[in-house]
Amino acid sequence: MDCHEVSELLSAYIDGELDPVESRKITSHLSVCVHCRQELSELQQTIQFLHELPDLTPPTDFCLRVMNKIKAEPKKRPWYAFKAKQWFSLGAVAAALLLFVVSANVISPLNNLPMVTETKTDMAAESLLKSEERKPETESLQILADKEPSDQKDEQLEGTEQSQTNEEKVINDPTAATDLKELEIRSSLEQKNKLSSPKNQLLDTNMASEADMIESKSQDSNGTNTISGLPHDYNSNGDKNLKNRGTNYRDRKESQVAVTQDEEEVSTAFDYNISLCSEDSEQASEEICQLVYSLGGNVLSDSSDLLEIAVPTERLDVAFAALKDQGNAKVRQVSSQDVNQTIKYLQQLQESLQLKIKGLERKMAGELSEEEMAELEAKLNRYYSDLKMTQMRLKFIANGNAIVKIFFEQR
Amino acid sequence: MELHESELILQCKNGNVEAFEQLVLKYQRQIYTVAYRFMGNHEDASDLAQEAFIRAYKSIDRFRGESSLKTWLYHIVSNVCRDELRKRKKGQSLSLDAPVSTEEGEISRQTEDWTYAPEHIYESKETQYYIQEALNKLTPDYKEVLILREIEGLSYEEIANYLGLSLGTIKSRLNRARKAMRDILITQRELFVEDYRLKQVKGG
Repeated sequence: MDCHEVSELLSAYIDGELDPVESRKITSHLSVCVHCRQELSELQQTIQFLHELPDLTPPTDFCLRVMNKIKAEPKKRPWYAFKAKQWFSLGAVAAALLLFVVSANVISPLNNLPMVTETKTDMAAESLLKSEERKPETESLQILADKEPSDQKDEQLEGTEQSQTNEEKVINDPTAATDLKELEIRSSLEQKNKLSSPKNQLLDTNMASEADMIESKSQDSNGTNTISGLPHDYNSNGDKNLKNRGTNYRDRKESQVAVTQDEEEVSTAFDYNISLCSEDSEQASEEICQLVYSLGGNVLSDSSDLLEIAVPTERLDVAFAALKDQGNAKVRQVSSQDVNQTIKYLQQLQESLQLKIKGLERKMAGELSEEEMAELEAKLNRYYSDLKMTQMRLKFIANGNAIVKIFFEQR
Repeated sequence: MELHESELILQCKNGNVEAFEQLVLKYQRQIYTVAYRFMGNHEDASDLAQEAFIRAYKSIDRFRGESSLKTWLYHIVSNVCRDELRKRKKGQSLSLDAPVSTEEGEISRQTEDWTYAPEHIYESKETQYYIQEALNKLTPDYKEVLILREIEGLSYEEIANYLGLSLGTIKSRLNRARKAMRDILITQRELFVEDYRLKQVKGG
């Protein structure tokens, strides 16, 4: 792949919208091309800028004005609007047509009442217009809504496919790591390969045996592979997996139908806590941020001793390999949770923050001294930033990113 | 909360105006924000966001809950703004580069002056201003696809359906839109982390 081709696909790469083969080609091109890395980083930052744009506060009388207009509105059209709801739009059109015919052909020749006929045709025409005018909008909405579930299904299939191949890999693969720290990272990588990429896991086979798997991996160690060798392993396994895809997919499909019908929606969200001991944590942090952007991930928060990043799970291994370049990296803790549960939790958090914000805003609308106002405003801003953070996490987790917290330690 | 919202929607369908007011209060920030991102000024944003809510009220019966209410409202406000932008593109709208009349005669707006204020650049308000200014400069097509993706958070497929275009078209349009945005922003070098020091990720 040359730079031009890569450049055309970078945007989709960032969003994880490429197939795994293309995506891997780009990852490997990026590892040797500074120019494209720079471009990716710039695009990623551009996106980040847009994401960071805050929600704005409408004018205080916004809602009032909307409601006044609405209250002025319905009187104009209750007689057909409310009926039309029950009758369905066809009924409304038919009624309008009938009215039109009646008013044009019957009433006007018989009665000498031009005023009446005129208003009636107007109304008929108006209702015709209204129903036509509204159709395109709702139809396209309909398409949008209908597509959603099938999206999820595709994703799910893709996920389950991977889950099968990964499972197999773990069983067959006799590679391992040597020293303890490396072993730790490696374990987490294995675990990642095993658990994270599949969007939908079989709880019974994978999740429960998580700990066992890691342990058995460590015992297999043959002492030749280091962390820097990992991405290579990953790639070759990936190729193998690709070849096996077709059959695995079928098997997988059958077994899923048989075993886990009510667990279809399960997938896993990952949280890594990593401690990183490096000589210059500031520089390390900056380089990690760059890397994260170039992997299509995002920086969630960035302080002197803690860096929180979101990384697409399929590129976690690259991120970990690079972390190791930055110093002595240890995985302190890995937690995995059903994505839906995590999302639910974050949504609750989001709602409670929204409630708090609403409460505060109500309070601030009252009479307050300047000091009180400033205090409340500071509080409000804090809530807003918490809310933003929560929403960002929600989005990244829902998009299949793992959250990685990096704690910097002084040497 | 979910149940609460669906209850409110049901009441709206039965003509309860107060229930709709609750929904307006809940979503006004988000809808207003999208309108602002499209239009780039508060006056238009306010008018069009209001228009969007009124349209939503009128067609609430068509909302059957296949998507979230938020997505549905986003959809309406995007439609309203898109129509308005198209309408204006035909007519004449105030250009960023149009000179401003002052008592001392006309001065040009000189948006490029940004570059001379690097000390402010990291202040988020300033940054936000630049981002919005950059958005304002994009063509309606690019602006639209960026807002749908980055502000409203739609998937590629959702955008394709909404705009009635193929996935391939969305992919390349989004790519071009992001690059156009990047090209405008890059004139503010300070916004970007420069000096790409990252070593090769691995193995060579």
